[in-house]
Amino acid sequence: MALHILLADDEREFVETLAERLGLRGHHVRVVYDGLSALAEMEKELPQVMVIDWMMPGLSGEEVLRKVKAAHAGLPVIVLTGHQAVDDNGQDPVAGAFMCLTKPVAFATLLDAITAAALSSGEVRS
Amino acid sequence: MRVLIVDDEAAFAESLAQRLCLRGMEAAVAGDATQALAMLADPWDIIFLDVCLPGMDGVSLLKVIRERCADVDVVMLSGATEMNKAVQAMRRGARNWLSKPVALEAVLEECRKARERAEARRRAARLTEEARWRSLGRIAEGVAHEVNNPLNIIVQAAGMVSDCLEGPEADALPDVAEVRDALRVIVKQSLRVREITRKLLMAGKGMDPRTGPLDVPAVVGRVLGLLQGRMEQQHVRCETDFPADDAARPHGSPLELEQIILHLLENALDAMPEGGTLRIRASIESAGDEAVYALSVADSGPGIDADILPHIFEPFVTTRRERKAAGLGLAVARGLAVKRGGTLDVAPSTAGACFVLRLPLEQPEN
Repeated sequence: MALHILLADDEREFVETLAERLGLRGHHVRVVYDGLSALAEMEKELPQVMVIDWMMPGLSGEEVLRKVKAAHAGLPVIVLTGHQAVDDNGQDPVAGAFMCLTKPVAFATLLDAITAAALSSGEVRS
Repeated sequence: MRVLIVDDEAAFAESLAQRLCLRGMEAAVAGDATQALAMLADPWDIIFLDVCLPGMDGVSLLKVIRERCADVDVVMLSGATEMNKAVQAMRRGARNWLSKPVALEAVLEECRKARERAEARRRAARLTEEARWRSLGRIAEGVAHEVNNPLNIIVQAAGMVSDCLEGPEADALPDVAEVRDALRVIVKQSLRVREITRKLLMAGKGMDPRTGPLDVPAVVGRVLGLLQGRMEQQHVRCETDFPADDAARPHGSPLELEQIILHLLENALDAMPEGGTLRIRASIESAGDEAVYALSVADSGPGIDADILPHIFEPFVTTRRERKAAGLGLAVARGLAVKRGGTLDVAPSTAGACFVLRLPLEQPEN
């Protein structure tokens, strides 16, 4: 199943390697390095799955997630974090994400998450 | 309030103890220094100590008490002719002295002051403890972010090399099996580092801020279920004892409680490789002016070494280095307890190790 995937992460070495590895498996991958570009790229052509970093310069992952969900509620977003994303106020800031994975992420895990996200398009983690 | 009266005048001491008990305190009497020393293992809030005792006198006993229980308040009792001894005792750290005959009001006043000082000490200790774990949280957050990002790049780069070594052409390369193994090791060890930063973060910042009344027996049951296989293998029996269903419940996060109990039970099982008994007891305890939920986990293993005891809750302290334990379990458990206004301590125990988790009670609404 070839998927259209949009990756957004400011760690270029990571995201470019990841794109290459996903490409090797037949997926169509676009890469951006910040939150604003992620939203712009999304509107150019809607991907089937988005993978976004939580801590990005400019627009943070949290804001990107909120804007993606507002514009395209059914588009599944996988969030990558450097550390757990639970804030002190008892809010779950990744609410709405299909899944939240902690870096370093095992490639197999991410691949499974992407496949699952694509299959469940339209379903959102409550 | 726990009061110890050390006095060889049995009639005076007993009647004073009775009068204190009538006022809701727990009071006990020791007739000489030997008896008193034997009773020091119990926690006392205040000790009334007669200057003139048979055998070791009050002033010498005071020195031993100061060494063994630094926090307890000691008030000397002395006759009019022993004022010089009372003064000596004050220099050695007694809180006050009362001359005999002693009025009950004076004793009660000393008890009240001791309670206030104990409360202040508890509050100060709590604040210090909270501040320590908060600072660990901040450090852990920085470390987690700064370490996990490069680690993530390492994992993907190693994965990329693995991808390039897929397929029949790569099979023909020299030493390809070894290279593939080495790549697997790189990924595996990187994920191990992630586990360490995750636990450090958990200890410092908590893991789930959604709190509410806790169903402790249910959580304990779940964790026992997880460990059932191991317990059977090691021939470990488990005894549990919980307060009645309608007793007050502690307040906290169920996920965090599960982590705390899991770490405590895993440690207990590690201490009993040749079998033994695991005792899990819960009760409502009063600490100072408020009641808390206390859950104790005791094993019948060899107990905790005296050298490691003062450091046992610090991160990276472990007795299981050979098994590659990072030494974060108890640090995580205590960090989570403190985060929710509780405590986790080692309880004095004559056999095996005993840990006591204390959590604030759920406050009834309104």
